[in-house]
Amino acid sequence: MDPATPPRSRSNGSSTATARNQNRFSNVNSSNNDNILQTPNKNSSLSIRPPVTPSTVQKFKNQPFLQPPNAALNRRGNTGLKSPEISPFIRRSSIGLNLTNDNSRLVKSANNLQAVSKVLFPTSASPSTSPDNLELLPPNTSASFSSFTFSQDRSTSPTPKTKRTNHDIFDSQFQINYEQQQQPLQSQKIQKIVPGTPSDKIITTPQDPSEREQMDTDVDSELEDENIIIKNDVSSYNPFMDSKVPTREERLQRRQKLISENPDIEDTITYINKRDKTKVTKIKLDKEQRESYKPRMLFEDEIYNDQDKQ
Amino acid sequence: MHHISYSMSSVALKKENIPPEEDLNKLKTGNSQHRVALSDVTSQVNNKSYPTTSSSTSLTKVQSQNGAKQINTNGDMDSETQCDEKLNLNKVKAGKVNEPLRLTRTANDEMLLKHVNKKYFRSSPDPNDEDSYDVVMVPELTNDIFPYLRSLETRLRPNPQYMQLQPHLKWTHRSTVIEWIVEVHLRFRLLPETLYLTVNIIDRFLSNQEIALNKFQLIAAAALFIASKYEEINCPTLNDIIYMLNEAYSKQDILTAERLILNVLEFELGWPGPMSFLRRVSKADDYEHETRTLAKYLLESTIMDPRLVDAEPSWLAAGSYFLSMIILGCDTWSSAHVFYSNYTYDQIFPLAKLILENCRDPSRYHKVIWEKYSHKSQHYSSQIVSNWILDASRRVEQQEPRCG
Repeated sequence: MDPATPPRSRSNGSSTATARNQNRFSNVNSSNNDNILQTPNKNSSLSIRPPVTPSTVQKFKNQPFLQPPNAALNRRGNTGLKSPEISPFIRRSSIGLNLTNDNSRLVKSANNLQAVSKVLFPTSASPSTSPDNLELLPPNTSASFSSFTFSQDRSTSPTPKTKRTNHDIFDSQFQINYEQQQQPLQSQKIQKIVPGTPSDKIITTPQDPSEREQMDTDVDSELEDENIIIKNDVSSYNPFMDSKVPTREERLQRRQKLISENPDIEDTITYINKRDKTKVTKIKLDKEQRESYKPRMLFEDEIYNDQDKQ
Repeated sequence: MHHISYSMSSVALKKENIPPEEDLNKLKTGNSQHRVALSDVTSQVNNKSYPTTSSSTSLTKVQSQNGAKQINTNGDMDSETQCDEKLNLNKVKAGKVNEPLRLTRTANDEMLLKHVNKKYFRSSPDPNDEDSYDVVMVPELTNDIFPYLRSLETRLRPNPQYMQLQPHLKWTHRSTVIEWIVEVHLRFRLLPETLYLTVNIIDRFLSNQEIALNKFQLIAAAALFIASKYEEINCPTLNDIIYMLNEAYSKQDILTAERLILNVLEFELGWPGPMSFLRRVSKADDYEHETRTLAKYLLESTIMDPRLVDAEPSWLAAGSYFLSMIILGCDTWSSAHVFYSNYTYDQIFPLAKLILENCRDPSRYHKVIWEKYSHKSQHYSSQIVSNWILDASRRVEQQEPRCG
């Protein structure tokens, strides 16, 4: 049985890294090419088979649709069943990263990580890939996580395997990466770093408009990835602290425009039925009603005086 | 026994029952020499003391938010209390302080409520009750609806101290804005529910968001626009609202403000206004129309008072209804009233006293509302209240020399 097509994002940034590390793979797996465990990669020349996607299913058109499970496994060299991917989502605030300043480094470092995956139910022929032995492929450059600055000193002691928090995952990955940089790769890596859900890329803008503008500039220049969604936090920005007031001339113009568009607005009230918006009712006001409650701008003097002072 | 009863139908429409101009002027300017509290007025009118009076010179303690205030039976507070009251009043008017009137619930209240619940509660509609056959009243759901509305009124109430968080606003600004809202609401002939919801939206929004003074009217207009779309079937158009703003704001301004308000309030507009509770409590009197009509004026006057910004609408409805009953000559807050309002006499008395105090000087506290309810279309409700207060004040004055 062929593995399912990985998400598109899985190949982002990892394809070049994989190509650069082909030698390492080939060294490790030279004895048995059938056992190669590798993220499907279109550009990989060493792949035994091209990546299989749903669109290429015609390739197997004439082959038996159903095969015994063993046969299917043997075709892939007893790689076992793949588990859902673990997404070591990194909560940036928790590690003391400033989004504005460190975002570019974070993205670059994430791109440098190798794709990994985890294998469940390994067969006897497959290497030991129990959850206890989760490992990561080394980054291409030594400047991945080591370039981060931490807001607080974190313990490097192993964390319990149950209830692993994002911090723990991050720390363990960091530690493993460090160890792997010191030693040659000895076993195949089965965990994969994926970009995570789109929600981790939503960037909320700060309340202060000046800070927001600054951040917009930074984000525009640094994050050109189309997958990053910038969400404006409407509720946090209050446009009603603005002291701008229309001048009396502007108001006069508006009045003339409104009356020209609605000539009967001074003595008629128009209602729209909210259940049927085509139903429009008009009520004519008598002279007394018109005179009783005239339109007025509240605090007019106070507001214009303040405006003049400014 | 001196007992005065006003019937809306028989009294209100007669011209002689409208206070003469000089009395109205006197009423508008207020009479600082003779302060009449509700306890004194009602006890004078009904020859009865509230809550207890041992002699003509004994003091009646009325629990209020600021502590026990001492009011003698002649209607005058002692000088120290009067001075404190005046000082506090001036501060409120200056927009410096807003000490909210708090609803209290003692063990006695709980016991009484439990007792009346046992007496009146029915798990199924009463076959002898006409409401049981009215599908609009949905009596089979009453036991679920009103507890839910009470939970909403608690959850969706504004911060009573929000003006402290607004560096550019004062309570007097709020009074001005709400008077304008009342005018626009009247011009557009909208439902009372729309007015109460508008005020609640403004207060809740200002509890969460700071605004500049030049945007206050804009927020109020947008709140009215939202409330009318929520409560009314026929809503005024945006152009009509913009016209009432005297072109100080554009269409786009209103729409932006509308979006901002809805975001800040998280689209929670289900605040239950006091009108549902007012109808509910009037069931105790078989939906007596006159009492409820007069109570509407008293109820509407509460929206102007910053001390009642976060008051539960059910409490306001009960207090207004109780005061209306007293003015119309019925002074018994029966167990049926307690059951349908969910408030005891002790709970609503301080509120009714505050409402009456505001009605003694309507030109200062709620001039626009007084004028609105002084018309025939509103059954001269405000004039009836003013007339009653004047009568009661005169009687207190006449009794003063004898007591003194």
